[in-house]
Amino acid sequence: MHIYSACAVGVGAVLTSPANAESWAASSLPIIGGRSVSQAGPVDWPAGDPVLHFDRARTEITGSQNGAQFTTTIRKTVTGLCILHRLEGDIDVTFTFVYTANAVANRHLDAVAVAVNPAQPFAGISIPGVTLPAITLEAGVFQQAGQNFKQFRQALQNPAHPRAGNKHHKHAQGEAPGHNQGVIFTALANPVGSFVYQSPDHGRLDVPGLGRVYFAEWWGEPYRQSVTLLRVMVENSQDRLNPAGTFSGQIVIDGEENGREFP
Amino acid sequence: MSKHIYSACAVGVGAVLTTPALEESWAASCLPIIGGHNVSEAQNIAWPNEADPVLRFGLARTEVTGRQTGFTPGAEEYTTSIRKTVTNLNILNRVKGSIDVLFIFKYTKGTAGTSKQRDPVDVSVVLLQPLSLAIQGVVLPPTLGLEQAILQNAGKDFKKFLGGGPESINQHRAGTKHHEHEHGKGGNGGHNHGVVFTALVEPAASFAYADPDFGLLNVANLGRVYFAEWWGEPYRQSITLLRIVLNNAQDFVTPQTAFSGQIVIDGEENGREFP
Repeated sequence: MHIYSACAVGVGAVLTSPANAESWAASSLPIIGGRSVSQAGPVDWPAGDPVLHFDRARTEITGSQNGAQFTTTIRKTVTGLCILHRLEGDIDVTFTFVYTANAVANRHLDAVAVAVNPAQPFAGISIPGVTLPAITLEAGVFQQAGQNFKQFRQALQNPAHPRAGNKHHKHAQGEAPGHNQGVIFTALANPVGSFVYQSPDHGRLDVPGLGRVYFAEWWGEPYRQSVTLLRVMVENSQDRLNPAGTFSGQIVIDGEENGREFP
Repeated sequence: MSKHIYSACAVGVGAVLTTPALEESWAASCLPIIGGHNVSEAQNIAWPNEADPVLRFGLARTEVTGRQTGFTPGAEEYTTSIRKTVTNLNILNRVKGSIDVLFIFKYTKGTAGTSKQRDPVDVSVVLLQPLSLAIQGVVLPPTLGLEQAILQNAGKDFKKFLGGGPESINQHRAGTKHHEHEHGKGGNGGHNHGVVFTALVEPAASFAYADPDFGLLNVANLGRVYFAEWWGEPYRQSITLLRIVLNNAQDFVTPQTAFSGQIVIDGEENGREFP
């Protein structure tokens, strides 16, 4: 059988000041595939003096079989996003993972074809005071990792790889004499020169008055990839237009996929 | 920046039928990587329709939380909990019951070298209500339990769990009672990361444990029922509390449509540290 595994959060927030936590529009695919969908909005959170507003957050995950191919899709839509009037816009992204099951003898070499649409998922995001570049995602990471994780790890040793050197992190738990499972952390956001890529920070943009914004943080291991589209670390920040409360904490739009075969 | 990456998700009830071709799931929760809280519930479901349902339940609810609970520098502790509640489950008037289970994963940031699992995860399962399941025509053991040593040993040190010592999987599910996936092994293309499949349900002797089927009960006129299927790898465990494979099954009381497909109650947890 194929064990499907995918989950997504529309929007999640954990504040340290004032202490508060909530998340919206979470989906999780049953191991047997099928579908899971969830939506929320409009939301102003917390009420009264919100750090976060969105019109609608929606996630939809499907898992289906076509012969020896098992396709998982994760669509994530957030419209009217507004964080303290310092980060605003819309996101509508679909991740597609096509897992091709080989004969049992080669099952540990099953390939996963990964695609992300659209090519510029952050085109609808703006940060007042900051000129964002045309942000694309580094297909050389998510495609190679899905195709053959062992070769992907080796490719990262090549200085010409777009995430070579300290632009990625190999987790100690994945290295010998640990478990050799090879956990790699980086971010997908391009152009690399527009963001901080210095392990352990990847895809980071420092925004005065707001904090730190991480674009398309990614981590992967064999048969598993996780993409946090947007992580905003709010650091003693106030609303740009209506300054009242001062907020610290994190807000994310994230999700992951990790189906596999059994036995 | 250093951070704990939370990861947990759960599905209250999920169904994928092949005959008739239908699929749906209810009460899904997913924890953001930053932790916090997520809850979802669905009530009074008769699916696919009230007139001829394959599935009914009164309440399906999942709640996942993740927060830092220990603050000692170098030994910070992060606790993820998954609570899953399904009441008045009724599948074709052949499987009935209620489930209310809390899984707790306490991840302690450690300082050990990489020759062993750096960070232990203390795993526990609390049955908030005794597992209450009845299957028409089947006498289930008077008490259904879960083999907690598997959860605990896999969470504490996965390398030892794969080995031959007292913490090994072989102490509780020896031989064909578990499966070590080849992609978790060495060799060409292998990753050495050790994926193990089995089931937790006890008493083990009351169920079929013969690779690749674990925790299996064959039920005439219904199909196959799998109890507490489990799989794990370093820093990740998944438990499918109940998976029912329907094989041309009709309602026991009012037989109409013959259904084939699967119905599950599942969830998993897999937080980790970065870097």
